[in-house]
Amino acid sequence: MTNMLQAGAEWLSDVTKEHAGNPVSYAQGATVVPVAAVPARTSRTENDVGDVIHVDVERRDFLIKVDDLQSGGTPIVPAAGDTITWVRGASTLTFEVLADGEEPPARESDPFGVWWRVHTKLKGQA
Amino acid sequence: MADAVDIALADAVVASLAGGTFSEAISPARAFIPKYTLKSQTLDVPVVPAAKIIAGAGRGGSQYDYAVDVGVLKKLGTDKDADGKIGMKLVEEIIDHFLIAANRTIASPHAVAVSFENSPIFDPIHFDELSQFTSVVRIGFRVFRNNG
Repeated sequence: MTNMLQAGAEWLSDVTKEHAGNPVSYAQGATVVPVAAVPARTSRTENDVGDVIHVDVERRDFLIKVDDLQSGGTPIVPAAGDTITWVRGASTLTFEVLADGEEPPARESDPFGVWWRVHTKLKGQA
Repeated sequence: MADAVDIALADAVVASLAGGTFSEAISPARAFIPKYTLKSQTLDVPVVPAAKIIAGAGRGGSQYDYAVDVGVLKKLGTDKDADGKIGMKLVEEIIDHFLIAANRTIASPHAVAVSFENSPIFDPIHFDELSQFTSVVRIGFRVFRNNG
């Protein structure tokens, strides 16, 4: 029997992707795939070294459907160093997938493994 | 009006580094509060007047120990190990630069480099979570001044 909650989560993910997803390019090494990503949590912090150096960091999570993140049928497991390029208006934003505190670079974001929650930092803006 | 010795010393450190030879091209710059974003960061060497301790040195003079912090920030590429090694090498070269007798003494203000502390050697959180090599070298300069 189909898990009703899982079916609901998958339906909701499709609706979310359709209405809140943005086309981005996901790159892992030489592999680049177009995918819909839902911008999620954002935060801005300063990562200081002692009292000397202050680095302003823009963090952003993206939700990407696990089934969508693949290349030629081979699943892509997000890893540190991957990049997400998002053309937003006149700007091209480049985010690097990186660990976030005790969080790994990416993890499943729901009980059924429908979404990846990918942690990134803004590394470039053109 | 002459600058405070703290500032003059930091500026002298910038000038010395700018005239040095390193494995990476650097553009050192003095700053009160060096701030960076990951968007703009490539290779930066901020120089910051950090601290001073004053102690008596005989009847008419005082011994000033100034601390000048030199940061090394390098954006890491895909080969983080290789870029980390480049950063570490640059830090070592900066320390070596001021260990050379000709650079150890600063002419104006008259000061001598007497101590070096490299902490953190690199910041592991910056390395892992920001993909950035960050290191700070604190150079201690000693200046003797008459109390006037």
